[in-house]
Amino acid sequence: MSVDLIRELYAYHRWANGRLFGLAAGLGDTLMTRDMGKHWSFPTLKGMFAHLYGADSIWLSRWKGSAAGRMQGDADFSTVGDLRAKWDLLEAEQRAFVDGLAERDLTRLVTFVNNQGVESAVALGPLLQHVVNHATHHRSEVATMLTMASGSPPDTGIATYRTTVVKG
Amino acid sequence: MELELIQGIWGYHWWGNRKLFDEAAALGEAAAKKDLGGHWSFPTLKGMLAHIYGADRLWLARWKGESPTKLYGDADFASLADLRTGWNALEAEQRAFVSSLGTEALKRTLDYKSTDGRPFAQPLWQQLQHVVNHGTHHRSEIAAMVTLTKGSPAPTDMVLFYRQPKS
Repeated sequence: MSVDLIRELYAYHRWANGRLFGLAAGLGDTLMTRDMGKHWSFPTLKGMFAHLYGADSIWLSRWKGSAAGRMQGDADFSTVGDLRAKWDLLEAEQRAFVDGLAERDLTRLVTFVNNQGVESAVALGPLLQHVVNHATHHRSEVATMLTMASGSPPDTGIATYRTTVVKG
Repeated sequence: MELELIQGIWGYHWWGNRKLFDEAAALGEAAAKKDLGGHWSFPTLKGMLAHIYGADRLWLARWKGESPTKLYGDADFASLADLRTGWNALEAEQRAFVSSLGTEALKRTLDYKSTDGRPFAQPLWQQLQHVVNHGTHHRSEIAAMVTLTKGSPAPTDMVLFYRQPKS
């Protein structure tokens, strides 16, 4: 069941991302690149989505044991369209990885070096949970920024996902 | 491993909540009651924390077979200190519930009614994940509100929780 729990968590992750990215992209590049203040983790909607891309990408590399490289962000994407194209590719790669997991993979220790150079080792299962939780933190910021820009976006809670999309 | 995954995120939930509750409390009661704008889910830090308390309390009651119609919130607490007392009691009750779970209990489908009376049925593990995810959404708002008030609070990334030495 552990693998099902993780797979369904990632189905939720993709649904919530798609819901907010679709809404944000509909506002156009000008609004997506508007500076909304320094109290956000990143000041623009494009920067926020670029950070979600960067984090999901670097963690996927760590899980695969490949060179993680540097964390990508806002400056790596010329437009929202550019980001969206790369996002879709990353999402497909992440989905293939998650779909290919077996129960025993979740207890495997992943050793990684964070962006301050500190090495840690954490089991893959909790790291998979971390990435979705990390995104929920930033999706919350995106939701508030969208509220400021165009009004409150639709709910992206797990309960709403289960009761209206999966229906079970 | 599903039990470890669920109990792990609950350990994270209590840790993240405490860190941000302490940040809000350190700002003082007046700052916690200050209206920070209509674009937040709730306009004050106290209101946001009271909502997390209310949602957590509602779901715990559902897991114990009840379907409350009242969602506790800001107006139910005179102060952050008052909320903290209720919070500590609720957290102790949650800890007892989460630590008592077995794998079979996680898979069990639990029926409940929403506060407006609509019936739902979902496995317990989904409901347990939902509450932590819900908390993270509002903790993010609390972090931005604390940043507006005094500067960025300490991070509450899940990976930082898992990196800590085991006690």
